[in-house]
Amino acid sequence: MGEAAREHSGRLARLWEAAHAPVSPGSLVAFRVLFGLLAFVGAVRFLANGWVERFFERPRFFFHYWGFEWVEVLSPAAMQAAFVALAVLGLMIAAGLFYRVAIVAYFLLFTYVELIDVTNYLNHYYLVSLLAFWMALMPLGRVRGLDGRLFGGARRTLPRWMVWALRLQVGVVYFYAGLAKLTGDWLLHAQPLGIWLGSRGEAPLIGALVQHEWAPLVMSWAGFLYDTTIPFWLSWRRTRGPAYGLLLVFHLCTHLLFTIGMFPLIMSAAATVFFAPDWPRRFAKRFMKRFHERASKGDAEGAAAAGAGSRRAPAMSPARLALAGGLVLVAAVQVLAPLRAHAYGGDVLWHEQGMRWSWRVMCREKDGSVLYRVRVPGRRRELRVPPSRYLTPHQEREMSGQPDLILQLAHHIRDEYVVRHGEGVEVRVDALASLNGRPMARLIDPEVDLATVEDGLAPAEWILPGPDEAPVRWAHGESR
Amino acid sequence: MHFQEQRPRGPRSRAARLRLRTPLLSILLVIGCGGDDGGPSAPTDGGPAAQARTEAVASLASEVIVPAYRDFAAAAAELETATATWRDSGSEDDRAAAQEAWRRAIDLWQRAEVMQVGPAGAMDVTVGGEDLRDAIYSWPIVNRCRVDQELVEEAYVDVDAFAAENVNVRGLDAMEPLLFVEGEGNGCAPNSSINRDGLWAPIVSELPARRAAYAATAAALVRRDADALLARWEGGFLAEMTEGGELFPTAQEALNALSDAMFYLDKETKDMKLAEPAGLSDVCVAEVCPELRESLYANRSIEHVANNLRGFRAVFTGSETGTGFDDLLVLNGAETLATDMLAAIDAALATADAIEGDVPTALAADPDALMPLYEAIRALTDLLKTQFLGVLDLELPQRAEGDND
Repeated sequence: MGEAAREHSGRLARLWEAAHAPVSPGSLVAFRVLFGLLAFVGAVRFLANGWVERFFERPRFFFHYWGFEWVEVLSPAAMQAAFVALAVLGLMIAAGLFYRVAIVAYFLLFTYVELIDVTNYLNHYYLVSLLAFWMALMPLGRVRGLDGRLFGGARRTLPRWMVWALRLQVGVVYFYAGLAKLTGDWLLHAQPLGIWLGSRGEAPLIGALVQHEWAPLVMSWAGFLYDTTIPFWLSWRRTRGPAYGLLLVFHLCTHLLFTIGMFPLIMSAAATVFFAPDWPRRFAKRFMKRFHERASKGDAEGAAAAGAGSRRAPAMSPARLALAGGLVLVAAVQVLAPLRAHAYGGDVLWHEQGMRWSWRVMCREKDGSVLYRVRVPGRRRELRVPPSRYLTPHQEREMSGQPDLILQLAHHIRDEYVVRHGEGVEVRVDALASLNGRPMARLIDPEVDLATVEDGLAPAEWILPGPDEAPVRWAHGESR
Repeated sequence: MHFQEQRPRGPRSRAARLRLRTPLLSILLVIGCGGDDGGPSAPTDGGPAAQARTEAVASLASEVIVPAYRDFAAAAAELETATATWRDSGSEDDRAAAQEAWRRAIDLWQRAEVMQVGPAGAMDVTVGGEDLRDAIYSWPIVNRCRVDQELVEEAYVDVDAFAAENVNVRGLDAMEPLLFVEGEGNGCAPNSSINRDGLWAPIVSELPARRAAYAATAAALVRRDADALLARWEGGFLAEMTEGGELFPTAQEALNALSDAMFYLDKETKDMKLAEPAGLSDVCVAEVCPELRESLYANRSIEHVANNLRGFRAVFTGSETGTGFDDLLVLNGAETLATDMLAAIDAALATADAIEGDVPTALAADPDALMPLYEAIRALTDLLKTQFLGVLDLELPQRAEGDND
């Protein structure tokens, strides 16, 4: 073995040791409980608001994800049951009861539900799936969970890589959400925030504040700086406390201003993974004396065990290295995948290639109008087919700005008309969109027969370039 | 947040703990309990933009929609009187007067069609919807055969009882064949009970009188429903909409409802009233389908479209002195859009006025006769669905939540 190889091997061994160094499980236990409770609340509010019926029973057509065309919606009763199951699984996760089964089932079921229809895509739903995936790799039921009490094998420490994995995942979300705002629209024209704040004058507590002329630009810059840097402030011990306080204020504001459901709660809970692994014990000791006294014995033992390095790093067997390599690959995909949009050139907010899975959270106001023109054999005039014939208003609104979904419905229309009229059906579209208040422009080439176009990862020639002009100027009613 | 292992405890430690805990708990409680589904939140005064939206809602509701319902209620009362006179006299002159009263009423109602906010709207899709519109005019739920069956059954003689009948046998739509159809035929298939069982032939001689009596009953119910709709607005819904309540906690949500009603021009006017008879929809299997027009007996389909546009214009511009959507667009930096939309409305109205005769006549002369009007309205609805919604940040009423835009 050469010198370089030995040095490389030594670095890997040190990294392996560091990744498996035992740490207090406190922060991950707290995260498990918070995640489980939020999973429960999320499923219950879906049922209570009638959203299962609205999003999974009412639509007659569902948009599939590329590569997941085989995913189909279940019967109405089964969809209701799926959400009941998600709620129950959330409670099981929180309690650490049959944890492995519960978290794996939750990951699979939640991901399935999200894969049913692209128009339901939300970045924070995607995050929930990813967090559940990472949690499925962690024995969190054995630490302060019912599994440890009922079945034995309770653990007092966890390897450090588990904390790293969740911090990386949450950090990636914030960082790329910030990077997505590094645009002229956001930083120079304060759009779409100007549009949104203009309609939020009646928001509780801060409605009047956000109506000031300076508010959109200041908040645009603040949002950009906050998102891109908060993972680093949270990672640094000295700034962690104030940074988390700022995080709570930030998410409170987004909750008051925007209809983004569980997102503020999910991110506020997820960001706790940046605290020291034993933060719950320290928190209890400082603020919850009685609870702390009751729990301190076990925690002290855990801390002592962590400090003493009671669990040695497992040997670097080929199987373990392969598994670790797989996890590093997943992490690398998380870091790199959001960058893929830049490979397409142009404005991703316009052509949307590389838009999903890249944490472009709240950075566009896009509204479209779509009308299909269908030419069938033996008919002189093109038929006009409005999307509303197939879609719910929610689906139509979401589809109208996303070219791949417009293409998907074009294919569905083609297939339907081929059955009725035979081969030779041509489908073109008049798709117009307005991005951040700009005058509408054509999104898709109206001359292209979409019946012959296949979706894929290559740059789509049938999507027209976005408009060059500036977005609508931010006005706050000064001309009245 | 980093907590030190050892921290000196002093007499103020409990207060300090409370100070720290209270804001944290408050933040979590506000996030957890409020939200898009958490019920109404107290509106604030907001700034000038918020104030403009509040003024627009108040103006559009009280100076455009309520006056439109008031005008229609007056026209419905005149229609009731005119049909009662026709029923009592049976004269052709009174029938013509009743027809004219129906035209005045339907013209006003077609303007109100694009104002289906609250009680007039459908219960399952409109905020505060009570289905009152369908009782007045249920198109496209119409059925000439059912109207003729009612002529046989004579259930209309009891006005109160007839109020419980389905919407397709009463309202302005059911009145249209009663007022405008002449002759002895009926709208049912040969195997329908009134033809198969020989129930129609015996009443043929009484048809004029029966039609007049039925029309009078239907008109009485239309007047009742028009009054009820107006009363519902003046008796509480207007305040609900303009002052912030459970249905519309903010002016922005009321604006959402108003803009949603304007989409009638896209879905009903463009995609149904025009696309179907023009042969642009596959509902029409021939090149053109004049039989799919809205007004089959009075032949006012184009006039109905024009009145939809007039109603749309009224909502878009607001009253003479009040704030309309055009003013909001200007306030939000989209002056050009406001001008473009107004120009598109007027262009569509001019295109409608240029069509000679109603749909059958126009299509017989030129199969493409409806295309210019269809395209003119499409130009307008494209603006409505894109930059208009974007600049004013208007949402679909039933949209749940999103972090993707």
